[in-house]
Amino acid sequence: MAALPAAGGTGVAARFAAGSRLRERRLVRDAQRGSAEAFEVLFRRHWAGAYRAAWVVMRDAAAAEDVAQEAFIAAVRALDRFDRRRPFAPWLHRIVVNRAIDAARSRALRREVDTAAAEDAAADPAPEPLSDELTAALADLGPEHRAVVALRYLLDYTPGEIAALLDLPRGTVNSRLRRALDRLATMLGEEVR
Amino acid sequence: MRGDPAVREAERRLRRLPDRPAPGEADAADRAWRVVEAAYSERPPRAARRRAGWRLALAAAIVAVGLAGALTPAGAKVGEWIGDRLSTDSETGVTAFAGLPKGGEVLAVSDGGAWVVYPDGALHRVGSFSEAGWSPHGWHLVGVRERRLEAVTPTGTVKWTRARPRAPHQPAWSRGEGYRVAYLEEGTLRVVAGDGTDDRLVRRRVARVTPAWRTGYVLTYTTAAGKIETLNVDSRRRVWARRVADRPAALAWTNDGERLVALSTSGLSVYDRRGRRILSRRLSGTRALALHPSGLRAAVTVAGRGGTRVLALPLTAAGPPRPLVTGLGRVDGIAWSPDGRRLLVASRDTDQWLLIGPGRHVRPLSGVSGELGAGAGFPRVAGWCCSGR
Repeated sequence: MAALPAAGGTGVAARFAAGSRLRERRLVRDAQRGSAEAFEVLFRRHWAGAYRAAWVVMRDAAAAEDVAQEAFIAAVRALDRFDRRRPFAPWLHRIVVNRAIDAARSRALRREVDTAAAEDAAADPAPEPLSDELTAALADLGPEHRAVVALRYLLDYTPGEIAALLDLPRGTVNSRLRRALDRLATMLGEEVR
Repeated sequence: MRGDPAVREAERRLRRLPDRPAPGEADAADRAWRVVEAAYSERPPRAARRRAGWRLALAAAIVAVGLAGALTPAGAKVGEWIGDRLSTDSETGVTAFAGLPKGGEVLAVSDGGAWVVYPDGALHRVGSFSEAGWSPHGWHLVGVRERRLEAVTPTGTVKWTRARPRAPHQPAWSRGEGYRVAYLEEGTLRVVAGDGTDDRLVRRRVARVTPAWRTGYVLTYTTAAGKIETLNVDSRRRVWARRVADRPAALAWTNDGERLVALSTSGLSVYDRRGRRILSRRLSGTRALALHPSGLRAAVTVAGRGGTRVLALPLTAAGPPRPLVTGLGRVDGIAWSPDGRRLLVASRDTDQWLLIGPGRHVRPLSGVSGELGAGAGFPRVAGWCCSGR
């Protein structure tokens, strides 16, 4: 994996971020040494981001669950090889987003209709879920564009970090973000005017 | 990039994405954690992983010392010391199968034959069978060995054998007192009495789907033309026949004989005893079926891009399926425990049997191939018996 740029910032926010990274490094170390509690803290801390990113790319609750779960299982399998000087989240998010893109592409090819997944999603109660006109508009984008949107706006990566995560030129990331925003703006425009 | 209000509005809304949960997020977290926790708990402890490397080095040393021992009297002393070191890390003797709950025995079939697995972890090999199934009360098993159909006791005593000109397959022992066994042989359906006598042809041109007994003498099967037929095998009277769009891959009657469940690769249908369809569910990628002893729900495996899911489906109304476990690789058999409290899932890729209990708690039994001995292969789950014993 390409090295990710360190998060920038100064003052209290930077000190908080540094403290958080230190705590996370300890959790990874403890998980590597066999502490299930430490791994559960990592899981609970990162589940929402992983699941939401997968959901934004897949737009299917069951598929998002599968992708996020598989990503964590992949993380378990690779935990011993993980360099804990690096942040855990980008490592996980890279697995999630790449798997979600692959799954969304193959699903589009199969044009699969999975009633179980649709029913699962419909049956899941959630307060103010990600299911409004914004996510409907996201559906019109391809999975690669949705992945970039998820990484930028959901997980708060910079375009440079996204480029490193997805092994893409930074210009490609910027152009995908531009196209996605333009497309969303067009679809949401009528409502604003 | 456009600088108009619509772009700013789109960006403003996107920046609110982190504040809002996705559908199903919390429930999915609990389900996923059970699976991830199981995967984490299966990691060998770090010390053991280091020890594995140390053991490899030690094994090389043993070879060297063994040679030295053969050549010099002093080598015997060193070899003894190494033997002590290795024995301190030996296995505890607790088998993976010892995690099975009480209340029945599991029938497992592997490349090395068929085995009855007892809840205390004990195993009994019952024959070199490629397929096998329980009799209704679990007093016998029927198995296929090359061109033979055999009935054996759970301890492996052969009760009868029928040699056939072609290989029989997909045997199914009848309900009730178990007076009949149905099986397929090169596109034909045959029935033999429970004592191994009176073997006769019942129907030609049938599909390769295990027949399902509704009672001790009423049998349902799939024809090569894709129809589901139900027949009284004694009177040879056809009870009903129904043409279906998707050829079933599995058939099963509920224990009360009131509902037939037919699983195809595109979904599941439920029929009443007269063959009228009372429920239909579309589910792409369905593979295996296990009816709950109550007959009120079924477990099915569904293969998809994200791996195999095991779902629980209600059979009395069109309620939503409940995912029991997701993200599995190949699944080689599922079976409900006789009391219906647990579902056993054979997960080949992880070499585990997964016990899914109340609250969808998943308990893995790991390293199950190793329990059968070298070369026996992965044990498929062929049945879990028996509520009537």
